[in-house]
Amino acid sequence: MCNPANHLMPQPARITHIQSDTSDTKTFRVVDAHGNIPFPHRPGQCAMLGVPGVGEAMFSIASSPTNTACFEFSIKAVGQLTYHLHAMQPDDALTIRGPFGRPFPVDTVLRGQDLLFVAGGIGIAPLRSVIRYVLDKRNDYGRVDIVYGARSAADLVYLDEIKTEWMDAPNVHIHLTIDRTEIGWDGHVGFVPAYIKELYDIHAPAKRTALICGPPVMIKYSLQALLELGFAKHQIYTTLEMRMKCGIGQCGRCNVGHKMVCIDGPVFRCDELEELPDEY
Amino acid sequence: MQLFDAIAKVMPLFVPLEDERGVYFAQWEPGATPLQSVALNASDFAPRKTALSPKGFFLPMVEHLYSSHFSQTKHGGTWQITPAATPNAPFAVLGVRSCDAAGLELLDEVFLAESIDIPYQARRTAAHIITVPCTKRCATCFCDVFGIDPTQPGGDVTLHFDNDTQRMPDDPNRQITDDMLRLQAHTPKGEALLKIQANKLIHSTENQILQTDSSSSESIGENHFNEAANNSTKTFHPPVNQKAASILADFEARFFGGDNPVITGTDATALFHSPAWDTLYLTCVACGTCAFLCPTCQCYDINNETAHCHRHWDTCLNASFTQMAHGNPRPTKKERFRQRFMHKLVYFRQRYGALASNQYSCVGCGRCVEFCPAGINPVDVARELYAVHAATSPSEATHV
Repeated sequence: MCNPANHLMPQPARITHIQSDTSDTKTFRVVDAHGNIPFPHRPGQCAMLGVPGVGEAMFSIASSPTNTACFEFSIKAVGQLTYHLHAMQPDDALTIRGPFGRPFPVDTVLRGQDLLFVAGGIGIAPLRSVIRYVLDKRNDYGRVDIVYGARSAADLVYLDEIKTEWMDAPNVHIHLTIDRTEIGWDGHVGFVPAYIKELYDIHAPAKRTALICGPPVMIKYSLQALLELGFAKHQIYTTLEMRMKCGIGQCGRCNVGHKMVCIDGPVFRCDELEELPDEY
Repeated sequence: MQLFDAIAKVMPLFVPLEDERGVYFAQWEPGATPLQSVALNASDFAPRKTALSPKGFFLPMVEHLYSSHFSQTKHGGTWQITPAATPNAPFAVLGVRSCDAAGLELLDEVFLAESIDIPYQARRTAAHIITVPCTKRCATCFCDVFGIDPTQPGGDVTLHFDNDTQRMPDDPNRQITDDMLRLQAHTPKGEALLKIQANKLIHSTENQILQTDSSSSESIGENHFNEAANNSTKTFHPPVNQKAASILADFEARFFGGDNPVITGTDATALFHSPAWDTLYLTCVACGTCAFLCPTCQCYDINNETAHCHRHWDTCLNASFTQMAHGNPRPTKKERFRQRFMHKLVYFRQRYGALASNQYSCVGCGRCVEFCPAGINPVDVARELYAVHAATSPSEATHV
């Protein structure tokens, strides 16, 4: 177990499996020194992965709490630590600490609701934790729509899993889109915000919630699209990304206004975000 | 000084000492140096303002958190994490000013409230803060603007100077001796310090008094103490910095006063978008000196880029502070400057206002004003923000 008293102190962890999702994204399975999940978490929470001598950074836990065998992290190679992680092999050693942040309210607000997931690119990673949770507790939630877009078909993370598992789940509707036409793609082409408007039934039930994650510009326009479709601001959740060091609201990096993304977020309701300066 | 020596026998004692760099807290060597030349002014008894605040006793400039050692296992290898020892040896810091004592209380909101920082908590528990009232104002001071009384400092114990001018003529060359000092405890830890020290501290002078806030006895000693305190207040109370006080009062009334005891989200967002920032930041050179000297700046970095993980002071004025691989939410100096002062004047109060005794993240110690190469002053920033938003509602002002 992570030392509960000192949240800055990591514990040893180990990679058990690495899957290449796209040209720049891999999904890592991680366990603690005893081969177990490192600590309990809720969907939407994050963990600090570290490689001593290289660095430490915050990642969404992409697996659901219903997966009690390991954590999964889907990581895009963009910086010093992530490139290092991409060069690692199964059985390589890491450090981990967490969990950090406020999760999606999967057992309260979201229960019994129709859920619309809106994701762009690697933004699917934090939502996957919720999606897997909902698929594993399918009867606790209503209709599920997943709108997921990427630059190209090759950039869609979890594509195999989506085809083999998500699409087969009862009352789950998958809507994939890519930015530009390409050979071999017979699905939708276009940006996510426009696609939501094409897809979504304006007369959908009142008991519905949207969960958005993706590049800031996609979040911004998707939000507008959802509001046009009649979603109220309190029916929309998103999850933010800021640079973090401590994870416990002290180091001063991740604030948006007076809120700390590491402890008040990363999950925010749209009406909560509206109260804050848009510096994220 | 018997007082200093007595404390130093029991635990390391740090006092403001002057060296070629300036005045810094340094460990007191028993019997080494005469008091008046190093720690406290002789002509008017006041603590020397140290170049660095006592923040570093609790959040050290550089602090070892843990070390990682790689060892082979049957699975390939693992990291063994060895935490740094928790610092819990008692120590005392004497000569802390009102402003710096208040600064520590603000840091407590960050490090001891929502989430506990273990090393900070250990050091706060181990520390005995001995404050000294200020009797004169530095040119850059404005603590009273934030409701801090420079003559009534907090901490665990306050060291008062007996201002009996008949017995003690106002001679700048006079020697300060133990019988001129009075100790007043504010906390159980302070009382314990006085009890432990009582025999060693006090020699049989009738004016020597150990005073505690919680004492209900009406001894001659207490009366004498109160008299001395009152006398001290009458004689030495430094004048309030009226100009700065009125600026902050305007700012306070406009944004935190009236019907809304807390700033509204609309007002906070409007201040964030204030056109005042467009010019305020221009003179800042983003050197970070202000944050380095600030008794309330909390921000730190954690460096894992060696096997020995350290944390060290950092500042929101650094471009790398919020830099991520994909971009930076505060891309220019303007956003970083705005972050610093929005935190000082708005965010801190929004977040901790209900808890903190001082409601801004500034205690008016004046160090940043003294050392800023561009002469930037937090009170000026408050004045400019007020000037832009005073007459109009903030939402209107943003469209000016």
